[in-house]
Amino acid sequence: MQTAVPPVSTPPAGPRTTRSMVDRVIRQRELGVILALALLCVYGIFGTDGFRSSDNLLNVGQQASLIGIMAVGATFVIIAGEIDLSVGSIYVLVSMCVGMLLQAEVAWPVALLLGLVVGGLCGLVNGVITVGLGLPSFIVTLGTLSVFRGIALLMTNAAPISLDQTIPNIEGFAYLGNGRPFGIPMQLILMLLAVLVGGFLLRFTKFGFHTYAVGGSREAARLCGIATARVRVMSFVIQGVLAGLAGAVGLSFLLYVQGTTGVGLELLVITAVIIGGAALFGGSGTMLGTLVGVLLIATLQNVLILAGVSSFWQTIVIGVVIIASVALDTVVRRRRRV
Amino acid sequence: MTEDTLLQSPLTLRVSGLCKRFGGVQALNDVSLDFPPGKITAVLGENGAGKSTLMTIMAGLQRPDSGTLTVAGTAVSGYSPSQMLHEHRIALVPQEIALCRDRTVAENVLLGREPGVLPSRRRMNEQTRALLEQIDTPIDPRQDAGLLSVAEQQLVLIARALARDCRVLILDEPTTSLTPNEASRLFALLRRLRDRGTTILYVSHRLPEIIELADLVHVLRDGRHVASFDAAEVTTDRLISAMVGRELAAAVRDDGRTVGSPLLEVANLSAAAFSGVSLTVCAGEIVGVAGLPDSGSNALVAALFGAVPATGDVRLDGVRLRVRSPRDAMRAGIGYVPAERRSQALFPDLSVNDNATVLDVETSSRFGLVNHRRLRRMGKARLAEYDVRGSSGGVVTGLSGGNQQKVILSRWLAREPRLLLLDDPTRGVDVGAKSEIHDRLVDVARSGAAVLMSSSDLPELLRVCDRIVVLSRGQVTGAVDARTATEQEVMALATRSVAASPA
Ligand SMILES: Nc1ncnc2c1ncn2[C@@H]1O[C@H](COP(=O)(O)OP(=O)(O)OP(=O)(O)O)[C@@H](O)[C@H]1O
Ligand SMILES: [Mg+2]
Repeated sequence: MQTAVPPVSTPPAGPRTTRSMVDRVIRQRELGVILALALLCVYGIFGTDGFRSSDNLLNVGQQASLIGIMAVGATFVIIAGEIDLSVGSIYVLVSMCVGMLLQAEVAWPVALLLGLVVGGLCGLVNGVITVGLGLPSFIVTLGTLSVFRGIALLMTNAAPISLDQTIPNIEGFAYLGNGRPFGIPMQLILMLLAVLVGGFLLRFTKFGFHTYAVGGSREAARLCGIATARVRVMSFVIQGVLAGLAGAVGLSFLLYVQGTTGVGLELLVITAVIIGGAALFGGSGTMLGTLVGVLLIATLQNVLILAGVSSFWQTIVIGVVIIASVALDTVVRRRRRV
Repeated sequence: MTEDTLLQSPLTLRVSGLCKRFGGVQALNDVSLDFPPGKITAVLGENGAGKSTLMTIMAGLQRPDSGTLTVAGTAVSGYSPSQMLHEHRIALVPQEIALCRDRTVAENVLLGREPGVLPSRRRMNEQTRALLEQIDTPIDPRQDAGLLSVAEQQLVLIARALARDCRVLILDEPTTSLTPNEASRLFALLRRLRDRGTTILYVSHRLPEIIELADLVHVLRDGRHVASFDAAEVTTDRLISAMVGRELAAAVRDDGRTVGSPLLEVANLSAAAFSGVSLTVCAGEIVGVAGLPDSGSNALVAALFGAVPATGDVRLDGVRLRVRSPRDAMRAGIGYVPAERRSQALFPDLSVNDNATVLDVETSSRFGLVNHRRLRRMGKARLAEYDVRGSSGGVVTGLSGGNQQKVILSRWLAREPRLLLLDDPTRGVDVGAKSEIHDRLVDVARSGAAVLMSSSDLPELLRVCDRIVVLSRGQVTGAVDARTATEQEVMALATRSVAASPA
């Protein structure tokens, strides 16, 4: 058959001019936060005493780790177009579970593993209710935020758990939160591991690709044969496991947990992810962005303390940074599309 | 509002030296055009020629890199939608309609124009009703906008423009999802507005309707203004050659396809939108499903893909299918190009490349790891093959509407499905690309697959299909041979009342 359209010469693809290179850099989503972090560090180094000491920097890293571990999970959930408000409650529930298991003299690796399973189950509950009943995850996890903490309180009769030195092998467990192999806080290592594994999943696996697709347009994803339910539930499970890991590490750090531990963590976690450039409505975001977002918050707190700013002002500054970073991101997005 | 507030002093709209660049793409290149008052001026061009860019600049949705827009003799200084709307009274009905779906029609129409500080619902409804009456549209202002058909949504947007006493009304591909009847009502309305002095800018890929409706035609090619015609004197052939810069050979009907044995057999299929549908599509055959928007024709195609639940007997190659989800359908070798590009097919956050290869992620992964390099290579080749204009690494929302559609088609055709289902596959696609797509559908059929497509574009069905099954109110009212049938015959079947056939 004769084709109706003679072959058309393809228009020259845009040459990679300096202009388009600059454009590409500007479009790099993490750029804004990285710049902000760099500026903050410059200020810390020249404007305050003690910021640049390696001890201080490692402290910043340590403070960032618990939020960071949870934020890795939240990155999946938020990219998938969902939200999980129950992370703080999963955190305390797993802390309590692990604490009780240790008090019952269960070997700590087993206790840790069981704790992660509990966290994963919490995530599974969030995911299955959200997907199965077709409810907004905001509502579902607002409910489980209450439920999970309630279970934690019931289990312990609202009494705090304090792990004393008489528990066999407690040093092994305490190493998770307090160890410093090669002088680097173990917590920080765990967070970086979580970021690396999470980033790998997101960037290189089918599951990661599908997470972006489902968050970008659930209907289009469904019509492309993507198992949207599985992807969404999975993101909650990952979040649950990581919130559980953070809970266990937090317990290991203080060897103490009480009913109010972890209240309000969800806001810090979500803040970190959003500052890192993920869209609150799903479909975009990166692990690198999340890492930078987490570090930005921790560095900001540190610098403010070193600069002698009162804690009330700190809260205000952090609020302003959230709005400013999202505003910056929105401006960049406007450049990209209409 | 009364008739004479609409009789504004006519104003000339002029752009000169307009340039707009997106990354490596020069979307508008030194464009100078006049839009005379009280006339309908059509803007024509291939996909990606820059039509929507020009229109959105005039509506203040984006600013040009250089060049000026002159309204009634004075150059516009600030480009913002509210300035264009309220100061210059330029209103746009965009290519991709966006209404607030959960708000009522009245709230949508009067958005940003609510009367008083605490707008009374009753007054808003009355005002809206009056506006809608002016354009002969009996829509209840209290209804949720999300429940309206596309045609009605468009009319709501026009009413919104009227609510602002707009003097310039810009419509970007308004007829892509309208029935012939709805379209001719829209044309009547536009003529009436024109006669009252409104300047109308009209973008469409449907050449016959442009010749029928417009007074003046401007043609853009690759971001440049290449020609202007008096619509009364021009022919579609001349418009086409101005648009694409060459002659288009007429599509060849007799393409030497052989129609084989029945491949898809549907018996007594029912769903919410249709009931008791039976039809057969043979290997190598292209069958159309025609019908008005409420006929269930789109739902029928979607149901065969498992996208909407349905019950009945569906056989592919004689084997009974149990399709409960799109995944099942894809496993059985079925492909589906949905009608609503933006909400059902595009991944707005993913790159053009990822959008073209989203279905190949499965086959390009081992142990859950995606071979991104392979996908990029596949995507590049595909985009070149389909002549998609735009950067492959860029966001897909940066492509023109027609190019987006080509990306989606390429995604499905590459899978070589046994049965290809399409819903309005050439919505918003230019003439050249359209005939290219039609050729590809013929290729698919020639390779022995079955093609079933529904379309709101009846001439398209008559041109491409072998047979057309017509639905009315969810029931099959007949089938015609597309080679011999006329539009009138199909429309007669499509509007046949259900009472005539046994219920
Ligand atoms: N926001 C954007 N980012 C990047 N490129 C863009 C953007 N908007 C438009 N373009 C590019 O500019 C060119 C013109 O696009 P435009 O949407 O104006 O085309 P069009 O004539 O309306 O086409 P269609 O008939 O397909 O709607 C295209 O090549 C498109 O890829
Ligand atoms: Mg367009």
